[in-house]
Amino acid sequence: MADVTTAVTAIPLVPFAAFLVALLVGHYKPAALPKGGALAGIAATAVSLALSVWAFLTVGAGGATLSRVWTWVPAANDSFALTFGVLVDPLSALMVVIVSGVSLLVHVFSLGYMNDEGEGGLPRYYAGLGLFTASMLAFALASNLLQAFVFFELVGFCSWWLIGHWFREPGPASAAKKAFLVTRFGDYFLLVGLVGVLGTFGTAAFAGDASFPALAHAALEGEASVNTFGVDPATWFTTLGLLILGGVIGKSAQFPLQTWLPDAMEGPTPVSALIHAATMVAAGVYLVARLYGFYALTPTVLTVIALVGGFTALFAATMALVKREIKQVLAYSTISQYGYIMLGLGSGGYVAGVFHLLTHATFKALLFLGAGAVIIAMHHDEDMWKMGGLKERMPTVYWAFLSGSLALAGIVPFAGFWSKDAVLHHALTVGLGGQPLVLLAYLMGLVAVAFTGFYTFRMVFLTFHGEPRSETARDAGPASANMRVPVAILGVLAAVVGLVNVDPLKGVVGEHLLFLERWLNGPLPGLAGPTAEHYHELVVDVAGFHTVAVSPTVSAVVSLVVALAGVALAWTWYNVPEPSEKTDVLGPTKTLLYNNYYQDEFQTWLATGVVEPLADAVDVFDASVVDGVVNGVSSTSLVASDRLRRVQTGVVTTYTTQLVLGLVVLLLIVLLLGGWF
Amino acid sequence: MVPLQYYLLFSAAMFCIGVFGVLARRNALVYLMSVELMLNAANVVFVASSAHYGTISGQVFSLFTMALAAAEVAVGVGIVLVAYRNFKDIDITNPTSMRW
Amino acid sequence: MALPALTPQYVLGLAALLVLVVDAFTPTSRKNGLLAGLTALAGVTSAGAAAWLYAGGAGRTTLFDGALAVDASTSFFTAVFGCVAALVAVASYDYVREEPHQSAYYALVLLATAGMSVMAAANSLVTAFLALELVSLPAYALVAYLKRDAGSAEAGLKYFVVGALSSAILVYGISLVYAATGVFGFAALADAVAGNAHVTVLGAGVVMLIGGFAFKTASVPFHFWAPEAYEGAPAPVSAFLSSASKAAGFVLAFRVFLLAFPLAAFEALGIPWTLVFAVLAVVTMTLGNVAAATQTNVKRMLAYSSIGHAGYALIGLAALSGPTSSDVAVVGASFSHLFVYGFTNTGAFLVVALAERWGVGRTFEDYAGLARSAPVASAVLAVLLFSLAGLPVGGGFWTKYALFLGAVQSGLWWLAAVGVVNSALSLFYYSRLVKAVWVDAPDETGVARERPTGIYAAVVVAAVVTVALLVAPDVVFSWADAAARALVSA
Repeated sequence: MADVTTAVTAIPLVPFAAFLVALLVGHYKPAALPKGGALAGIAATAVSLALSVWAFLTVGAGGATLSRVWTWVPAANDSFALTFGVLVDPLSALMVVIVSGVSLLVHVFSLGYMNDEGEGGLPRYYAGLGLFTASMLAFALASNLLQAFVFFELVGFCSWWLIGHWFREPGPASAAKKAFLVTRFGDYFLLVGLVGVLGTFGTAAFAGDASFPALAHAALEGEASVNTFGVDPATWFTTLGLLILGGVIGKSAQFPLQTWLPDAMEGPTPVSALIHAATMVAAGVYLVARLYGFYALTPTVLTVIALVGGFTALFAATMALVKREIKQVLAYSTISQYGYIMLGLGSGGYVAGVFHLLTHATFKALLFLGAGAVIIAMHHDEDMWKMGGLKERMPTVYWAFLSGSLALAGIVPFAGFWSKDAVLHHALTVGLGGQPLVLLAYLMGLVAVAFTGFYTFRMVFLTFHGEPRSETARDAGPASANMRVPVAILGVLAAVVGLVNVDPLKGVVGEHLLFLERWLNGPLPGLAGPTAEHYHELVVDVAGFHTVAVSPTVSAVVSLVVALAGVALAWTWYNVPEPSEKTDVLGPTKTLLYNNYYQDEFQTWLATGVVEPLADAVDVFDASVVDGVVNGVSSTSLVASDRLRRVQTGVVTTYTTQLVLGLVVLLLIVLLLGGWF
Repeated sequence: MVPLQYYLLFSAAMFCIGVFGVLARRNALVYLMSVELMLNAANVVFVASSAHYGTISGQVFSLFTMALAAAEVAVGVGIVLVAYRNFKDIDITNPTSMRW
Repeated sequence: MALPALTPQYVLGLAALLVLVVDAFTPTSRKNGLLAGLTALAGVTSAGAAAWLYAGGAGRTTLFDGALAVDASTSFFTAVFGCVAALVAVASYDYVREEPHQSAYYALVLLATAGMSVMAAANSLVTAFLALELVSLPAYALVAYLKRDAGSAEAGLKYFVVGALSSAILVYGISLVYAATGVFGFAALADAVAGNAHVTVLGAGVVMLIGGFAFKTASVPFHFWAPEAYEGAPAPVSAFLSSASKAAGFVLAFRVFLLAFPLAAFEALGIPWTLVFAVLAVVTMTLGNVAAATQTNVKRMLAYSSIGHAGYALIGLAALSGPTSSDVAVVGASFSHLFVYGFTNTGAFLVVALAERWGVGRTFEDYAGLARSAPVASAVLAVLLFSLAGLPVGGGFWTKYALFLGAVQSGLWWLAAVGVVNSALSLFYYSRLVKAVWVDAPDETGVARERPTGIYAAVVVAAVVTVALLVAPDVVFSWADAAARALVSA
């Protein structure tokens, strides 16, 4: 199956071609572009999906490959080369299937959401989607950290582009800028980390014998030496891991850089589904999974990942409790769910984390698309208190949305139940095995389960149940087919996708039914170096994360009961014909939650109160000392220039004279050196 | 047989006279003649060394030098003519419109 | 298919004769397009043949009893010369359209290019000298080509005066080396200089050789002709001389000093010539860039910047330190710099040719607001200038980086520091031009400019190649590396 490598290279290139078509044809001959570029995008993502599935099946047959496609900067002077390549292994194959699949559905949904509603700027919109899909696929297939960084930035750029689709309104324009700047802030750490990795290991490759995780492991074992700049290797690797984690936290909207994601909901809802739920936000945690061979060596970073994840899961869930707009609830739930993925990865549960990434991508894309259909029916009014009773008016959307909500709340047997409990179970076993901080993260995650059940069903009941609470809701009609079909497909998937890894039933059904675990951990004959099958030993042996046996079934039952408690409370409060807000029980906390713990205010204060005075001080230094030196050099040069060019008198005999004098000086130098005098 | 050093000193003298002419004379044709003198100083070394080492290559090189000198004069006189047409003079220090 | 090793040289020489023959048969008809096409075709063909020869990988072929030797460095630089000649010919199609004696013009360009490609194959001081003169004599005539233009005549005269003196010094240097060793061939010289008894004569000869090469590369103190010749010459000729002729001087210097005068032997004699080149590099780049900083004439600014670039390329000779791998790296960096520079600098001068054709004027003020009436040419100019400065918009970024890195790794950190300061200074005067073109307001608005196809095509190709070398430098850099290896470990 040698030619699959070539085909894989085409996976990102095809949507890129769709991007060019939408951009160029849309600019020069918009009339020639059917549906504003949607058809080209659909065709391209369908091709990518087919190729991705092919790659997926090839990997399933034991054909993981790593190929260098292109040397960007060759190695010279004992330095290292910068290359671009394609790494196809179970993780990346799974990711490209998710990305191209969700992207295809979102393109189809956009026909209903954007085209049928007569929105403007369609070529721009579809060009953005195409470029985003291409970048995200190229990111997923990246074979080294540099390439990953390049496409990491590109997806961030596309996010800015698409959030700001309605750029003439102040909200989207400002949200786009905020999203870009906040994620960029995290990316600076990633960039520094990338330079550190290159400087330390001379390579940024993810996989293979000479990859940097392999070198780092060898260095810790004392079998190889790398340039750690005089620092103890373990400390240095922890530093690098934390720096890279900065980019992850920004992109995956983890505390404290999560504030951009709720604002990003100003973008078109299909964009929220594709970028701000299923894929781009996943880029951060995907990077952690991609670098797992490296993170597994650094217990400190793993603990930080678990803590950040657990805290974010709880923190974001509390803010979701009181939100009025349907997309805001979903935004905070997205942040919270990515917290779970981080918790899973941080506690050594590589498979659990990736599993939750898979299921979350499915059900959250579903929920956003369902919310999009509701928003269209409500004529862009997102306030849930004006909805109600939509169940009868849009049944397909309702049932699919319900399936997604059950998955999100973690109710058996829907997708989220299996994956979330895999995460929590893993965190519990490691936490009890002597990692109190991970145990703390687990407890936060467990509390968040109750909140998740509550806010999810508060949303379902307010939106679909009871009596319509406004004229618009009374007149709402069913969604168009373009919207219903993707929602229905995802609705079915959200119900069943969890069955690929029925982790809580591990003791009951036997290992062979844990398809995802076997898939991810299977031996890879095509790849040398540490692969997923070694991650567990690394986490245990190097990071020292020991586990105690806790029955997965017990852990699952605990979290199921907690989730049901949350659902039950939502049921009693909101599944009534005339629900009321009930937020008064929270007392003063309510205001705090409405204002998102005043984080935006705090960050603004940080910028204006702390950073700005500091910047002013630096500016004074820059203007006086640095500029002084620079201006000194430059004015010296200019004065020298004016003098020096007078040497060129225009009279040719002075040239010959100076030439001969120069020659004589050279002769004297050489003959002096040669010992003539 | 005259030692090689004498030829070298002789040629160095010729070369320096040529350099002096190049630096001191402003007439383009005299300038060309001074350059000829420098080239011929080299020819003296070539021929003398050729005899000294008993190889023929130096003499061949001196033939090349002469041919080159002729070609250079041909191009040079052409350029001097162009300059004369523009500046009505063949003083090489005359054109100074481009400087600094 | 096995081509004769000298195919590119044959193509260029025969094309020159063909141009003259065509003119002899139809002296009166207008055939500017035919001649320009023929010249460009010959340039591209020779470059293609050189690439083919390199791809064939024959190693080193010695010809004519050791007078010539063809290796990877020959093919590398022949490709540069062929490409530059083709760009210049295409641009000249528009530039010399109204001038008489076009066949002489194109024949001279081809003869000079042929001479350069022989310089890149020279393996003996005899062929080196003859090839160098084959470049110089056509170059004098080309500079003075616009013979009713006082500037062109003055430039030609000054170029010739300095050139005649320099070639006399070169010949005398060769004669002194011969007096000390009795041989001309590079390989034989390498044997003869080891432990040579006539250090004084040999040393004086070598310094005079350096002088001859410094003239061709426009390095201090033999650079005085360059500002005037580049300013006064027809702009395509300035482009040709400042890119191709300079590169030819460098390849010859590299061949002579790496093949005939091994550093180890000269260090044993007490004459480490790397030191001479280090001094020349510092003085040349500083003088070129500092003098360029306050120029008011665009072409003259480019002329001085071209002197500065000779200083950067000299790092390749100054930073040799002995170990093969680091020597290959630094020489390869210098080669790739000359390659990138060949395209970038040619393109920049050709934009000036475009402006001359539009009658824009010569100073920075005259260029103000050019972007309003000629956005494509102005964008190209900005890309080319910033690449010359070493910003990462073109291949110049990598090559400058590699040169400075090579200098640091040879322990010459001060040389690299001077280079960096000079690059910063060069950014200043390049930005002045970019600012004039893009930011300043034009004197008159709404000027419609013609689009001379030839010059436009040439500058766009130059810019595209420059940018392509930023994105995919590997093709050229690996070739430059092979070329350097052919000389360093020969």
